[in-house]
Amino acid sequence: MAESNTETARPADPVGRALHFCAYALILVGGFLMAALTVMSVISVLGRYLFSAPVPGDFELVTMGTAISVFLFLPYCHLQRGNVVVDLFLSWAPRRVQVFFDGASGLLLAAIAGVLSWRMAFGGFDMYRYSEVSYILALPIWPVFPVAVVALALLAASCLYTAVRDFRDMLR
Amino acid sequence: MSSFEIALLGIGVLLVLLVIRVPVAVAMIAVGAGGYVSLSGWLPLLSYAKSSVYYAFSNYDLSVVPMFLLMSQFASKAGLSRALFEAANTYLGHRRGGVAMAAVGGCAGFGAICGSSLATAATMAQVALPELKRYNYSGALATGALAAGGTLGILIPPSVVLVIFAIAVEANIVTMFQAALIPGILAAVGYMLAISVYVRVWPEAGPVGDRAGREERHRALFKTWPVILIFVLVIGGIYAGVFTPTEGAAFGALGTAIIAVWRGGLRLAGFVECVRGAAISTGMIFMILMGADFFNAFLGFSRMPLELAEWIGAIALRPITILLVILAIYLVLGCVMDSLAMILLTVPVFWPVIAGLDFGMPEADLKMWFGIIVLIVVEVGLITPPVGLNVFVINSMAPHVRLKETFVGVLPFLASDAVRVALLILFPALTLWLPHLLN
Repeated sequence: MAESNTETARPADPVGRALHFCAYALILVGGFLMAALTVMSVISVLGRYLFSAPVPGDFELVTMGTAISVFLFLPYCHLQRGNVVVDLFLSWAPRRVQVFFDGASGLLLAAIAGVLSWRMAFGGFDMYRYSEVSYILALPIWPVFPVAVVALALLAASCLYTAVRDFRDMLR
Repeated sequence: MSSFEIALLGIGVLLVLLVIRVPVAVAMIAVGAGGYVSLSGWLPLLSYAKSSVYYAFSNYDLSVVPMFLLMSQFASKAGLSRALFEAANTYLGHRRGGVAMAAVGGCAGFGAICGSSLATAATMAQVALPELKRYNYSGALATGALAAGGTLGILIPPSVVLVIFAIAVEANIVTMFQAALIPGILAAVGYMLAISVYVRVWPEAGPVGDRAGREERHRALFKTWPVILIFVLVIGGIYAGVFTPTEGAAFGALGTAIIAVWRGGLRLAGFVECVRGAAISTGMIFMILMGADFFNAFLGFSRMPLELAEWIGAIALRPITILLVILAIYLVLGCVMDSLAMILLTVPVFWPVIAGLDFGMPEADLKMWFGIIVLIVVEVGLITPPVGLNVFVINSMAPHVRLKETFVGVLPFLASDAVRVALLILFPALTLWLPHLLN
């Protein structure tokens, strides 16, 4: 299963440190949001059974909150090399070959995250223009999008950073 | 090129990308987006990308995933693994191979509050490996039992992989969890039987431990009450429909957090560490979900899975043969691939094929039966070479045992897995009885 608690060495260069710092700040925000949603769900269930008074719109708060925190997790996950790879066929290849492909897939993900960030900016604008709101609380949907745009942009930057580092590593 | 051919080409490109170490999520997004463009052009893709990821992530059923991961993190820091192991040991330790059986029992207990395999294996190993060494158990049996025992974490509900399977085939998560319980118990019993056969052949591998009196047993069992309480509250509540799986997971996360603070000495630094661990796992899983969203959009557009299902339905093979072929494919893929990624990658193709065949049961039952069998088969990959993740983790925690020994030690448990899969295929009632009873 996908998990890892090992922290990769913190980068020493200023760019890497800045990216690492921003990504770490985002997961803390997302993580505490997750924890808050957990507590809210428990309160809502207790309220529902004990006082017939659940937290109004609890499902949609959890749904939107989860989406926000997941976007916030993505950059850090990449910086920790958390993405799942099939690590078999190239494990016999020379290290330089492996590092080259790591760098190349970093560039690919940078492009994907960049395009998604760009498109989601428009998506958020659409949500704002058409006043899309949630069912029960009538919360506007668009505020999720700026969060996604920023997180995906940071993901793209992190991917470029790791790709450059990989290519340098290859030439060394 | 027909859309069927484009889909096949896409799958080929995807496999090549995976071989050259492109992350699974990235490969799926790239191929999905490329295929989408070749079938319908750039503009639809760019418009799809405006909100598709938001919709993929904002699904109430999915919010159970980060909460279960948080629960698993707190559970590993709650100091419950020792209580579980010792309770199992007072009941089983006096038998030959009993301490290893206790390790399996502890894993089963821990799996009841933890939804992931690696966390279960690693947490139990911290407690059980030193004990197994103290009783002079062979390194192969000790590490093999724990690596295999870890897979119980995923089979016994709660289970993150099962949630993902349920979402992928649009099944009810609650009945899915109900279906997993009996196969999970069977797994634990089967692993213990495997140990007892093993020590009958090689008695020196698993010497007898201490015999505990009745009172000592009760006292040890009583110490596991937080685990029992959380399991009954969370899984019982989900089974009975008192709350949704997400709300159950919230209770579980809060409950394990309280016990981690109270018994495990969890403080702010540890709390942040738990949040960080859960965040990384969540990020990985949702990256793959994002990939699956693009890849499935492409496959759906091509209608390839439906045509394939029709084509397979038309050839005169018995359904069971096709099921076995699919399971064989999972077995091979499982040796090199993460189980969750594998399920998200293959279910959109394999599920329509299975759903189109006549196994003599309604579709809702078929989802449970097929899901549980697939879950077991993909988890086998965690304990087989070349990338048996559980084996690597447990082996790294036991410096005196060689990697080869651990892989040998896992063999009896693989045999037990094979017997269990055969039983579940032959007797669907093992899976379906409980969900039918409860609904």
